[in-house]
This record gives sequence, structure tokens and C-alpha cells, in this order.
Amino acid sequence: MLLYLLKRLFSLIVTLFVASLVVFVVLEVVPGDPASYMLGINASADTVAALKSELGLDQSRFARYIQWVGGMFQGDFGTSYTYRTPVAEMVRERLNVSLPLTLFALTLAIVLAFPAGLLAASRRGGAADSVVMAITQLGVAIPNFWFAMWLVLLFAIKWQWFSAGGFPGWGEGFFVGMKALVLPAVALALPQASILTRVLRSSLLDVLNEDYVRTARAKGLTRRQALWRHALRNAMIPVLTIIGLQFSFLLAGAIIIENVFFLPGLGRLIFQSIAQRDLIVVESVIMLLVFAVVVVTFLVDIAYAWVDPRMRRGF
Amino acid sequence: MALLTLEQLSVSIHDTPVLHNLNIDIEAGEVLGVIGESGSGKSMTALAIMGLLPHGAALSGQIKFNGLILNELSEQERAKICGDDISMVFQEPMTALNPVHTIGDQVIECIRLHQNISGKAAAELARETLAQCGLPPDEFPLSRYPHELSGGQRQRVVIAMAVALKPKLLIADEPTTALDVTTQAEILDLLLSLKQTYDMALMLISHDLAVVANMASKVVIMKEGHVVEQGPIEPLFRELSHPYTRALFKASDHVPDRKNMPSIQPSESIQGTDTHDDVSKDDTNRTANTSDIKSAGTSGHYSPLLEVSDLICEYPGTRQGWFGRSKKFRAVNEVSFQVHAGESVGLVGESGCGKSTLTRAILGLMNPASGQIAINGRNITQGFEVLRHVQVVFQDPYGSFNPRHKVQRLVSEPLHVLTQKVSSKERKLLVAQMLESVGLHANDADKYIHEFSGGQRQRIAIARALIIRPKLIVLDEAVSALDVSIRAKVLDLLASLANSHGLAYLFISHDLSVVRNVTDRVLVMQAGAIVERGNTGDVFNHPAHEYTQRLVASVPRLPDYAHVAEHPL
Repeated sequence: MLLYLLKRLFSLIVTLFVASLVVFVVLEVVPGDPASYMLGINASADTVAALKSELGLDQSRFARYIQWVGGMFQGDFGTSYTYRTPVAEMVRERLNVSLPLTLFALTLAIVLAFPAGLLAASRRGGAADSVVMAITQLGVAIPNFWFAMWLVLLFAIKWQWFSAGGFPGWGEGFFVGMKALVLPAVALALPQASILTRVLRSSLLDVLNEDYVRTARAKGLTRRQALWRHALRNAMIPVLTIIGLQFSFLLAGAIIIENVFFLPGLGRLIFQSIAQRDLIVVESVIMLLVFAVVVVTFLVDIAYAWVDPRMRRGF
Repeated sequence: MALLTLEQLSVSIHDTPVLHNLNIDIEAGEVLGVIGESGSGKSMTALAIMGLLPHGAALSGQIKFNGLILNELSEQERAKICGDDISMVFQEPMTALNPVHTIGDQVIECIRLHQNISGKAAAELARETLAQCGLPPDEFPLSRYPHELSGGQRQRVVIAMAVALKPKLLIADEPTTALDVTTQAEILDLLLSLKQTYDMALMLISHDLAVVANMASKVVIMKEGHVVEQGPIEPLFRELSHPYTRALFKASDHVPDRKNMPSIQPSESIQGTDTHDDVSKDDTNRTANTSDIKSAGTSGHYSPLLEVSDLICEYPGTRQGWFGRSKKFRAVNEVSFQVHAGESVGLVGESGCGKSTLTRAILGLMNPASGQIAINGRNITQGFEVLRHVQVVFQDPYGSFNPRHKVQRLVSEPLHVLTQKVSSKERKLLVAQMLESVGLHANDADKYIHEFSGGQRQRIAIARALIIRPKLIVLDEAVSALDVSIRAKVLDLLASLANSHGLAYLFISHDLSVVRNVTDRVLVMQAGAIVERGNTGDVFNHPAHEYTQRLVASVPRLPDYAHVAEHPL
């Protein structure tokens, strides 16, 4: 088990290193010089050069890479070219919205998907199964911005239970903040819950066909008991994989929903930074996302080992 | 009154009848053997008794057990009986246990489902039962996981779960089919001794006549969902009055007609026996000839068809599942042997003895650590043209074909290893010929593999192996998954192909009786090394090595009163 963890940890570090190289190199290649972009087209060459040296852009690539990576270890992500504020500060602000939103949406997806998936699998071919399958089919198919607008129309405009958008900040209290995230979280959770339900159902159906489930039934377990005690845990591996992927996706991929609800999230930050050639921000946010993905993958790997003892051997 | 009575039991699945009006009795404490080929409904009968019929099954008639009519009980009431009064052992021990729970948890679960006792007491009972089933607690603590045990050990866990609560009836569905002969003998002994200790009735389902003959006092013979005949075993097997029973006996000990006995001759001599004469075939032969001439030119003297010398194959230590992490596991240890043209050589040994690794090395699928494998005197590392003299037929007729390709493509696949291109027209002709030579029709080429039965699939596998005119076919447990009657036909086919094409076979099997009937020489492998070799008859009649003696002794034999064939093992 220890060997397994060490191997996973090692691959985590290697991935981060390779990712930092790739991110750095790719953004070096991207056309557009941040200094001239910031100063506009009429700036003189001298001013551009001065700004370049101020931003550290005139140093060698290697030196800038070392500076960038070294800075990240100390929590210093550099200074935004456009806003002249520390990147770390900006990212933290955005994470304050994006991370709770992601966790909220994912929790919602899991809470919806498990009962639905279990119900569908245990009543395979029955009415409940058909209903679940139909709803999840819709959930995957409906564009989430369209669904989000309906949520706004109904819950914000017609019944006025929630505000139509914006985020008051956590200063007003936990529940005020969470309330502002309810509609976006629901909009984000619908497709994810549908996917998760379908994965759980098909994984359960596969496992229910396994010999050991038949053995369990021969021991005197009812269909239901066999499903809960023997099938569910074995069906978890693909479900955990999907949950891990969904977390990463939601963290940065919520940009459309962020726009619909005017939320200051990470997705919008990346979008703006790319548009403004604020490469240092782009670099930092991408690295942060890579870090999040890698850590989540690591956690998922640990969860695999917890679920399935065969994974614990260090291969 | 009988312990279990099946009365007019019929089952259909999605309106296809699979069992027809069965009437079977089992008395308390007796062993009833159920014999039949695949599709005979023997497993379905067991599942019907357990209430584990698949989706869409409809049942009529009655299953009476101890005064209860089982098929009229609710799921809950039935679950109370299953695992307590009636329990079951399945065929495939590798998958019968839940991989994510310890063996202890799985035995304890069974006990606590039916008995209201503390976890501690249940654990104690689980330990006792496992010990009784041959898994002592100091070596096999309750905390072991199934993947840490071998197939035989897993089957002991399954049996422990089944007998922990001293059932009145134990149903064993092919409990030893997936196991080695020596393990099979141990498991059968265990079942018999448990039956005696607990005075339980045993319903033993098997395709193996000898296994049933040695265990059961009464027998039911099934075919296509009907009971063909039933009664006390001795008169039934002595008289063999029913034609189906008689046919089963004949097929189970079938000796194919093999005309060409081992002839140690240069492989060139068999070229003349080729009777086919279309254009593409001639092309194929031309390449064969050139390579033969080449090999003759370089070596200058006769070399055997296949020569394995001092072969060592190792697996790296980090690979999971072998002994220890750091040191390498030597799966094949200094093995040397030869196969001559037209000869049939058997390779026997238990699982884990290195048979499969040796096969992989001969097929060029893994690199040996040291030693040589030469075909016609040329080392197989010299490339594909060398390997094309060897083809393989694997065990699993269901898993060894891509289900999305048509037979035409599946059979013509090996043509890729030929040096020159074969046009699609020639390809069609060749496939048609091959299919006909294995007893199928030319127009079967347009079908998909799922349209064929297991025996037909194995014929297609043989056609695929034949298409590039190999000189040696490796048969890796090629008939082990087949029913006896189909097996007999496939063995006949192999023998006639050997006669007409001058093929040599390397026949790898755990089934000693088949090896005995179809091979000239035999190699016995244990722990990576060949411990005994010689003419098949000599080795089996007078085994010299202690391991061979043990193997031969473990083979279940039919009792003396029950022989029809002339070549008993």
C-alpha cells in the first residue's frame, strides 16, 4: 500500500513538472507581446523596452522559467500585466467563488445520481429504469446555459426566491453566499448528475452479472442485499473516475454559467486574461488547474485502493 | 419422502423452453450425479432450485424441499433457505468470490445472515469451517483477499461458505472443471468427506463421466433440457442400454484415427503430399520452398521442425503475483525438446507449471532470457518468415475472435505474414478452401462469429491456423472447453488434417486422457522444467517421475464395470 502511494506521488510530481514546462513553452510561442499590448500601438520602442525590463520580459527564457516556478513555490505568482496587482490575489478572489461552486455542484450531482443510479439498476427494464433513463438523456442533451436561463426566469424573475445573478461575497455570511450559488450549482449539476447516473447504472448492471453476485445470492442474500453489499462497492471504480474528471471540469469549465449569472469565477478570469494577453495570469491559472487535476487524480487513485484491495499492490 | 423433489419442472427463458418436465428426486444423504453436455439444462436445473434463474425466465411445475414448495415462496422466504439448508458451489472459482471483501468477511456474512450469533462467534465458526476445508487459519487468516489465493484455494473458500451452516443439500455445479487434475482429486475428496461428516445430500453436476461414476450412487443423464435416463449408477453404466449414454461414453474416450506415425524425416518430404493445386496455393508453397532451401543451405544438415534448446524465460520481479518483488521469477527453466515434422507431441502439467509461457515463447510473443528456439534450423528471432511455419489454436472458442469481423477476415488474417501480397480474389478462394477442409461451408465466410457454436468456432480457429500452410500447429488447450462429442469430432478433424497436410502438433493440455489418445510423445512439465519425457504410452503406463505418477493417479477413471472403448486410460 505504501509503495502504491509513493508511486502515485512520484507520478504526481513528474506530471506537475512536465505540465509547467509545457505551459511555459506554449505561452512563449503564442504571438503577441504583452508589453506592446499594454501600451497600445502608438507607444515608442523605448517605452516598450522599459516596460519589458520592468516586467522581466527581457531576461532569458530559462531565467524566467526558474523565476516563475520558484515564485509559485513561495506563493508568488507574479504581477498581472494589465491590472498591476499580484496574480495570487486575483486567483484567490476567483477561487473563493469557483471552488465552493464546484463542490456545491458536484455534491448535488452525487446526491442526485446515487439514488437514481441504484434505483435504475435494481429495477432494470422496469418503469423506474425507463423514467430515470429518459430524464438523464434529457439532462445530458439540454444545453446548460439554456437550462440556466429557465432557472433564472422561474426562480429569480417569476417567484423571486433567488437573485438572478451576481455574488455578494462571503462577507455577508455563509448562507447569503451559498444562496447566490444555488441556481448556478443546479444548472451545472444537471448534466453532471445525468452522466454520473448513467455511468453508475451501467457499471452496476455489469457487476450484477458477475459470478460473485450470484454466489452472494446463493448464500441467501436477497437481490437488494446483494446489490448493496456486493455490487455497489465493485461498481465504484468507473464512478470515481468520472467524479474526478467532473471536479476538474467544473472548476474551470463553468465559464458559460459564470457569464449567465455574472459570477466572478476562474473561467471568466482565464477568458479575460487570454483576450488581454495577460500571459502571467494565464500561466498561473493553468498551473493551478493542472495542480487541481493532478491532486484530484491522486485522491481518486487513493479511493481506488480503498475500494479495491487488488489496487493496493504497487504495480 | 425425498429431501428434494422436482415435479414436472419446466423452465423457459423469453419463451424459449430450456427444461422440459423434469422429475428428479434426491434422498437425504445421497450423492446424485447430473451428467450432460453444454445446453443440456443441467446448470439451469441447479439455478431453478436456488431461485437464481436469469431475467425473463418462466417456471412451471414444483420444486419441493423438506415439505415446502420452493417456487411458491417469496424472495425473502427463499433467501432464508438458500445458504442455510441448500447451498451451492459454482464452476469458476476465480470469479465466484467478491474481490473487494476478505475471505473471512464472505464466510462470516453467510453465517450471520442465517444465524443470530455474535461477530466473534461467527468468525470462530468461519475459521473452523475454513480449516475443515483445508485452509488452516495460521496460513490462511480471515483477512486474506481472494486474489491472494489460487483457484483451488478459492474453491475451498466457496465450499466453506456453502457448508458453514451444515446444509441438508449441497449443489455442486462443475466444481472441479476449472481446476487441475491433482486439485480436482483433492476437491472431490473434500466434498465426499464433508458429505459424510455432515450427512448432507450432494447434487454433483458434471460433464465428466468418470468424476460422477466415482462419486455418485444415482445418476441423471440430461440432453437438451430433457432427462434421457436416470437411476442407480452401476446398472446404468454397466449396461449402457440407452444410445445417448453409450454415445457419451464413446466420445469421452475417443481415439482419433491417426495414420501417420512419428516419422523423423526432413520437412521437405511433406511438400509432395499437397493435393490442392490452385494458383495462390502454389505461390504459398513457393515461398515455403525457398525458405526451406535457404535453411538447408545455411545449416547443411537435417534439422528438426521445432527445436527448443536450454530455454529460460523469466518474468521481472516487479510484476505482481509472482513470488517476491525483487528476484526474478523463472517460469521456464532450461527446457530443451524437439518436434519433428508430422509428429504429435503432448505437453502436460498443472497450471503455473510454465506451459503457457513456453507457448508464448515458441510463438514469438515473448523474448526468452536465454536459450534458443529454432524452426527448421532457423532461429525465430530472425523474423516473421520463420514464425509463419507455426500457428496456434487457443482454448477459448468464444474469446479468441474479434466479434465485429466476418469469418472471411478472421480466417485470412494470418496471410499478412506472407512476404508477397495475396489478392482479394485469391484470399476468398483460400478462405473457402480452408473452411471446407475443416468441415464448414464456403459461404460461412460471410457470417459473423456469434452465429457459430463453440465447436464450429474451434473449427474456424483451425482454418485460420491452416491458411498459411504452417508445419506446426500449437494447440493450447484447444479442445478443453468443448463437449465430449464435439471434442471427439474436432480431434478426428485434427488427425485427418495431420494425415493430409503432414502437420505436426504441439498439444498442450491438462487433460491427460486426451493427450494420451492423440499424441506420439509426451513431455511432462513441473515448475518450469520438463521432468519426464518419452513415448506417450510408456510415460502413462509406467510413469517414472514421482510428479507424473501423481498426475496419472489423479485422473478420474471410470469404474471397471463401465467401459466401452478399447483404450481405457
